[in-house]
Amino acid sequence: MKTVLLIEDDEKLSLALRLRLNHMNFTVHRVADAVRAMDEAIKSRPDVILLDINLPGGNGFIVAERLRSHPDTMSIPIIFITASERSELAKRANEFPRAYFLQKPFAAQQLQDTMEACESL
Amino acid sequence: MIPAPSMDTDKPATQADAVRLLFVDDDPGYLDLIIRRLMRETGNRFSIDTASNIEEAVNCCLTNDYDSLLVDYLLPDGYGTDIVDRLNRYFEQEEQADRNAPPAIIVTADGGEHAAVKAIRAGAVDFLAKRDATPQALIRATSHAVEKSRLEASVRQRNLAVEHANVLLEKANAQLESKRREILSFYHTVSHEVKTPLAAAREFVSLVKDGAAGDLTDQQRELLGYAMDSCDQIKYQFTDLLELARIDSGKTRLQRKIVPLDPIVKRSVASVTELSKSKSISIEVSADNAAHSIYCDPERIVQVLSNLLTNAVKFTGENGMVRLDVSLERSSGLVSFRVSDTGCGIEAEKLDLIFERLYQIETVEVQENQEGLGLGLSICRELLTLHGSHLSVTSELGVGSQFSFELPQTTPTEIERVQ
Repeated sequence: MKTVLLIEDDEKLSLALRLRLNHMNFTVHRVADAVRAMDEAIKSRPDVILLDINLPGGNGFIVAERLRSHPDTMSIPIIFITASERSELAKRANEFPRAYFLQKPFAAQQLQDTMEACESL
Repeated sequence: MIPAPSMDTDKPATQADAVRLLFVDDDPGYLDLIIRRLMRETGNRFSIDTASNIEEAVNCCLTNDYDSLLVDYLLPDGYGTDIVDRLNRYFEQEEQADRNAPPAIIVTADGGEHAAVKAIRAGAVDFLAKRDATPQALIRATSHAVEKSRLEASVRQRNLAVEHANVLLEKANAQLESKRREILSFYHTVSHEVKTPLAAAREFVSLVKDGAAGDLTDQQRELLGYAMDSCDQIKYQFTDLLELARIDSGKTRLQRKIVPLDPIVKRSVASVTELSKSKSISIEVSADNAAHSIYCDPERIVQVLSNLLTNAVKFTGENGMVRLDVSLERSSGLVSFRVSDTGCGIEAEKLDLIFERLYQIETVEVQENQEGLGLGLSICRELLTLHGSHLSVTSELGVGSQFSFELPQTTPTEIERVQ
């Protein structure tokens, strides 16, 4: 079973997404802040990382930069998720290699399609 | 304001009306003579002070307001032009911005050309040879000097007023700009704060609907579907709100280029296909082959057309028809777009209101499905205004409505070249 690391600080959304990803047959590891994100990524070596951009303890881009500069995590696909509509966020997210961008709220199908796109990388 | 000198010697004048002169000459005999002759000619038209050297003259000017100076070119401590120089420098200082140096007339012993050139270069308004300095000549020269100075002062005051107004305007603009950024940022924050729990709510509903928490009846699934639609409506309304705030803040920048028309039409129609199918509404597209390209921001025009088509489908009853006509007006080089529906139509007196923010036409049909806050049409109109175009509407109650706008086929410069 493939694993996903979900980095999301909103407790309820994190739970909903965990249930959705379980329903899609993924094993889910969760953290709620930027500080523990890196350790958990190295420890759990997920197949995909779902990364919220607004996080306590540093934003998602800082986490993504750290992930991209560590040999163990540099090639894991990242799906940035945010409820913000600031256009510069999508632009910045797409500058990362092997990265996708989803605007909250998103449909289960959008998540499914993006997860499949990650797996085909 | 310096009073305009009156040279009408018939009327008695008060001291306050008198033209204030400063005579600078080191020859007391000459000063005495010329002042007496002036007084005889003009009565008390002139109020005259005297100074015999540069220092004295400058000090007089700093403590008194003179309408004009008459200055001998050769003075014991330098040249008469030095006075002009020093006064000009003094009055140019910022704290003296509301005062002007009094106009100076240089009087030379022989009227030599050299002295005359130096006088004018130093900023004197006029010069006279002593032998020509008759009372009449002095009156004439002084009158000109005062008039000229008065005009200069008036121009200077106006310039200062304009400068001041500009500063105020710039300040007000900066404040407005900062306020708009603040409002936009506020909308971004509110939208973010709403969409995060909305995403959670939508996902929980979606999970239950998909059977992740157990089996459901068809009716339960249908009802949860409506709940998800409502979540999506909230999302779109916040997106629209942000779009308008972005337009208001002037942050919407168009990426205009000449683009093929076909993909724009196809993408716009595709965006409404699902909705039109669900209501069994057919969408007819008629595009003029000659209208192959347009000059616009393609993303924005797809947004406008999608919005107009969605409204058309929304306001048209089941089994109705929606048309999109695209044609080229050959004389003007403009591509015209028209979205027509066979919906309920809009009353004539409400035609202008539909573009107003938050206006929702209340019809029986709409009350049933209560969709949209009516921000979409405002956005369409604003986006077309940014394109230099205009969204117009015609409608007949019970028959349908047509929304239309025009866009150039090529860039403005190319149009000029063709013409």
